[in-house]
Amino acid sequence: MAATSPSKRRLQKELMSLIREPPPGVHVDGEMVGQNLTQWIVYMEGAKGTLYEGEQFQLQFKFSSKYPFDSPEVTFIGGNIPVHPHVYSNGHICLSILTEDWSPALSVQSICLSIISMLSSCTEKKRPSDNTLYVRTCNKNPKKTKWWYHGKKGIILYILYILCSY
Amino acid sequence: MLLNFCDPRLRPEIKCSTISTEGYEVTNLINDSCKGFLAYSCIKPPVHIDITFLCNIRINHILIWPSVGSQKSSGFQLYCKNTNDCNTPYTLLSSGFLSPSDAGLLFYPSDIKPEKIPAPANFLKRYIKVWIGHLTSYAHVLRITICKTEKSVPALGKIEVWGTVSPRCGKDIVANVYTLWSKHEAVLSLSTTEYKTEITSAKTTDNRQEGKTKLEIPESFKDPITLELMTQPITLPSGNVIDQATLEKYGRNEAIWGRPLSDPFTGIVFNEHRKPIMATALKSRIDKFLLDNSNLNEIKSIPRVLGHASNSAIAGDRRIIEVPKCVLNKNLLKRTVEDAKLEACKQTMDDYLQQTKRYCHKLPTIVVCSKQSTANARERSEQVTKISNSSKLVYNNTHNHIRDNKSENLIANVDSSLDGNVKSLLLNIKRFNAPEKVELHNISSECKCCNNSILYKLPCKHVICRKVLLSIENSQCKSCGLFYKLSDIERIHNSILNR
Repeated sequence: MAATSPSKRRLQKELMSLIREPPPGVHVDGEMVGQNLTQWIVYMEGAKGTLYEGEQFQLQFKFSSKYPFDSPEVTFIGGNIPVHPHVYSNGHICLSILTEDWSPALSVQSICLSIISMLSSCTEKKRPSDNTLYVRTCNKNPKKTKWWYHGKKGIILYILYILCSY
Repeated sequence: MLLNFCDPRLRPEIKCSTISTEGYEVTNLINDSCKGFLAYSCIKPPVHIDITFLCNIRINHILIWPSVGSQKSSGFQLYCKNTNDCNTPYTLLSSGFLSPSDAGLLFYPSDIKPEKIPAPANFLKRYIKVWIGHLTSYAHVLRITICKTEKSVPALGKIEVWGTVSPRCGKDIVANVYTLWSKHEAVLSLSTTEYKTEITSAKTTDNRQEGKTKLEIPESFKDPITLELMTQPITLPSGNVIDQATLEKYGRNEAIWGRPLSDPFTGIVFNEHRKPIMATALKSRIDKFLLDNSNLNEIKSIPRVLGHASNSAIAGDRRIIEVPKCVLNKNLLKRTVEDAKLEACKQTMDDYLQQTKRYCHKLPTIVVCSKQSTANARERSEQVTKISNSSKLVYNNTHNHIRDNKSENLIANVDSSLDGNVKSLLLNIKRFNAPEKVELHNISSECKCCNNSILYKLPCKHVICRKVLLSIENSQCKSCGLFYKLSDIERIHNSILNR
């Protein structure tokens, strides 16, 4: 398959490397992704020795044509969304590299590793404190949310950007 | 559907027990070459030719064309085995001995009716006994032994092994083989009806192979972020090499977040000491690579650079060459030389300079005749020297049409010093087809009436300064009287002249 646009070429390569040498507990359905390179489903397993051991999660990646200069849209989907202070019940993840701190040098693999490490470092399974309000009011696209990252303290505040104002 | 397992698309492997005549290698039998196989002239039968197929096959029939030119083999034996293991012995399937009237040989399992096989005329038909059917339906390696020849070297014009993938093979193998074959079909349908002639088929294959050779760009030449070939590689403080364009694009995205440019790999902001540097060595390697592959279409679409800001003069060179072209005008030469002859020069140099102080513009223009020389470089260099000898300085006095009143002495003095310069410069020049560039150095960019003036070139090739140009009201060159259009005036960039 000839990947013409730069983003396709890059995605193709990332897919190949993810299939060939995935991080532990991560696997991707190559055939499904092969059909539509801009939307991936990555299967993830809770790391051993953590609160999420034995749990299965699904991560959805959506790539824009500006990828890798534009960060992908990453959300948890499916029946099992991890209960985590940085993960909202609608699957949105509060992780700085997914928006502000994104760098084109990062990749799907590094996002997966970041999320695994985020889950692994969790000490108490709970939803974010503002979960109910956020889930009710947020945009479908987590990238439209202006996050206020509070690092390790685990307190997340957010300001909603309402799309209509654009 | 029957497949020819000797077709190059189905990737057979072929080996021969002996050496071959040059150009008639055994691989000709499996690569659509029409030349065929010819053993080396001193080789006597038997000659074993082993064909290994990509999977086990069920043989339907085998067609053998025994002759190459006037060389013809007359006795063949057919062996087969069902593994690629070299310890497994071959089993004799059948043999055939041709009479001079036979054009070829056909082997077929005896359970297949020979009438159904589309064999060419005058082919000797030999069957393979049923009791070895387990081999013909699961053959992996086929050995054709040339065991007899007619006073000639062992030869084999062409061989076709028709059959299907063995029913004992997995479905995936069947699918793979059919995919390979259908590629073949697609190519065949592309080539026109002329395919029947062997030569065209060979050509089709060649073209296809050429089209297939995709350019392999070394990983180190690719930008790790965009995976495209880098045209301006830069080394980041983190040690990673990326393309300048990628960094710029990254910088624009960072600017959206209100952040200064940083290393995309570490996020550390650049400063005086930590900043990206041009990867010059890599750049030259990439340029060499581009140059070596410049005939490929993929390369043609890749943007090129003409060095970075500090040596952008490469681009300027083209313009430099343009200027003297005007000077190379033959008519101009004639006119100025004649003018010079007519002139009676009465004023001294000092007088002249004094006069020019008002609005005069003393821009020496070198007049060189352009002779097309296809002779060798030595002659060329001599000619160039001659040209510069014959070059004259013409002072374009634009104020009062006194351009002609210069002394012969002046001309002579300037000429000799100029010639000296030109000659010395010419000695250092390897390319004799660009003498213009040299003379340009000698064109003074200094305008006598004004400092740092902007110079313009009129369509008549005269160079004047901005002040003088603005003083002209009727769009007529003050030197030669030629009328010009305002749109034809070209600006000469000082940077070029001063170089």
